[in-house]
Amino acid sequence: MAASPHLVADHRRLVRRRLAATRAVLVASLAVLAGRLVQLQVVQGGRLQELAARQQLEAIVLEPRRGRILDRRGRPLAVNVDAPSLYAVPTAIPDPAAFARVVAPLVGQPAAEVERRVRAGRHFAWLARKVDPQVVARVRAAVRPEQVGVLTEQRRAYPNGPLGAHVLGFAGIDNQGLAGVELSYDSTLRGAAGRAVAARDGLGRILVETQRVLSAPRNGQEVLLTVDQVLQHIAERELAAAVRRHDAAGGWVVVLDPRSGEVLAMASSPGFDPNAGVRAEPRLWTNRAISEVYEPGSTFKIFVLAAALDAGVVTADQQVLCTGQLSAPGGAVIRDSGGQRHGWVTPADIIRYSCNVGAALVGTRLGKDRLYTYIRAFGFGRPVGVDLPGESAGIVPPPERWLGPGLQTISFGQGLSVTPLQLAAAATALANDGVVLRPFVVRAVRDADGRMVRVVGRQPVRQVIRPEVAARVLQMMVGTTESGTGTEARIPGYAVAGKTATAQKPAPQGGYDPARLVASFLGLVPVPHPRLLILVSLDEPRRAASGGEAAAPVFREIASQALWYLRVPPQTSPAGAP
Amino acid sequence: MASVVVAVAVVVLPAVVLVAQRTHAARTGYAILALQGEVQTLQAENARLLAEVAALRAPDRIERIATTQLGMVPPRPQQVASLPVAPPARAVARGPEPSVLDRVVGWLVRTEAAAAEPAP
Repeated sequence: MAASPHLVADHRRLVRRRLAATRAVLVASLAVLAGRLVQLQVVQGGRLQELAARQQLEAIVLEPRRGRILDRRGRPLAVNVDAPSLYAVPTAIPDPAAFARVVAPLVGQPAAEVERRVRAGRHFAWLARKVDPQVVARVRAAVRPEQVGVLTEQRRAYPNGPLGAHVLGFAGIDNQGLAGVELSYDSTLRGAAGRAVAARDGLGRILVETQRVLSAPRNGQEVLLTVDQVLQHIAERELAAAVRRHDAAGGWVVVLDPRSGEVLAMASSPGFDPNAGVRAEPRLWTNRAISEVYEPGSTFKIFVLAAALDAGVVTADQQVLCTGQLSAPGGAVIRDSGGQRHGWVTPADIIRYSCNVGAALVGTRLGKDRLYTYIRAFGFGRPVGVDLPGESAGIVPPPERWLGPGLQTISFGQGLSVTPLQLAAAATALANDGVVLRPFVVRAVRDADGRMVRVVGRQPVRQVIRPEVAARVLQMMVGTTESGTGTEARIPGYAVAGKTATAQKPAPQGGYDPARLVASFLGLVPVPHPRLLILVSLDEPRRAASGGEAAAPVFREIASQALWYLRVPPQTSPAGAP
Repeated sequence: MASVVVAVAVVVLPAVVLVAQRTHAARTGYAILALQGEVQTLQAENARLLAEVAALRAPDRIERIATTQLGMVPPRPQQVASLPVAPPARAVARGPEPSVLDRVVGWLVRTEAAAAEPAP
């Protein structure tokens, strides 16, 4: 049966309407999609692109290399080596306690600490940083491979072990300077980290074609010290031998080039190995040559006599009478060592015999205010400004606090405190026409390509005494080693200027403890144009107590080897030489 | 038919070329990555060797070997002599003076070299 034309027309209309509706829906949908497309691509395009890049690209820190520390001849004293660091992947560790029990003994840490770290992290937890490769191998053999990972980091290494440890200092686990030159020149050595972004593939490898360096890393600069590796070794060896020989509590040696103020060696005992870093005992980190504050004793007499000669209160051939003791203000009695009477003594004799009474008489003539002015001008009572951290200022009380026999005791180095470096720095005036120099330990800085970016030179601080007075005092000091208290410091072939000191240490209950001494020797060689200025001190030596017996031979050993090493020829042929 | 082929070629070929280029770039990237790793390994090895050399040259170690293994002792002052050395003779050979032609050629060469330098 055929459909009626009326029905067919209705059906076609219906189809057309439905088609129109469908078309409208499709067009509307497409319009919505197009609108959304425009919104995503155009309106929000920039922001979304950045968001996507942030999700796909990983930020990478480009670590700089820490600059090396070299000795004055370019021999490496602090370098960088690669070291593996172990981390755990907590999500791959079902039983942190069991994991910790296995791993903790291998990495040398308490199990509780390892477990705490594993529980605290999600995808990453440090186990041990900068360890030996053997530790990594042992841990890897003990746990499942997916539970631990290894990153390679830079570790600071000191190839000479304890040599120059107090000058070098050490760097911490994140290569940050913590002591010594490592700390004072940290910003120079550290460099600056760079930044990059890159995508990684399924295996975690960087896709190089996606890598963008946002800022390149700047490697740290190299630091050249004034310290000489060989002279440092000589100083440390002789100091250690003397500390053992005299059963001393410790000691220190400072070797300066008196013409420039460069620190050629600086040794402290007891020492430590900077490779141990913070694991070393903290009290051993102290650089006693710049931090130790002690009463200098008779080495101070040379500055008092230089001041008196410069001020004109005594002349080089004027004599004062040493009767072996001197009544001082406050009812105190100044005595010479062993009650010796030196009789009429010139300034040269006071230095030669280390005469306390003579020094006290000269100091009295100078007066409190003038002596104080000279003491401050020589640089005592304030840091010398060496480029090392932890320097002490010393203690110089103002004249109004020099009570009783204060003026007289200060005249022979008791009643004020100095640092070893202050003492050595003040003595540079004797070799530089009366000008005190600032000592320093870094002579140059060069960039990673070897170009010098900074050179440090001689740093005059101030003129303290007249040039002729400096030369005269230096000549007077030669008498100490020729026929005075420091004959043990004599070096065949060289004229040695020196001064001994045997200073009592303050007792805890007040006054001085005659059983606790600091034995010192301060010397310059060769006279009249010194190339070496050496201060040797032994802290509480128990066998030979005096500076002449304990410290002067150490000076002789260090100076004689250093002179040959520096190719300073003898002025006269040593006795018995061919 | 031909138009279909052309259309396919126009659409597909660039895509194929693009994929090939991307693949090549990725492969080159991996090669670069491997070389970078090799460079880093060699640099680390070099640093380790330099540290080892420095440790072997440590004065303390050399002295210990010299005195304990080789039986050496420090010389006494009487065993060392300082000999006076005359200042070195000035024996710097001087060549003939440059001719006018040499100077002109030198000037030209310097100018050429200067021209090749990038402007400051």
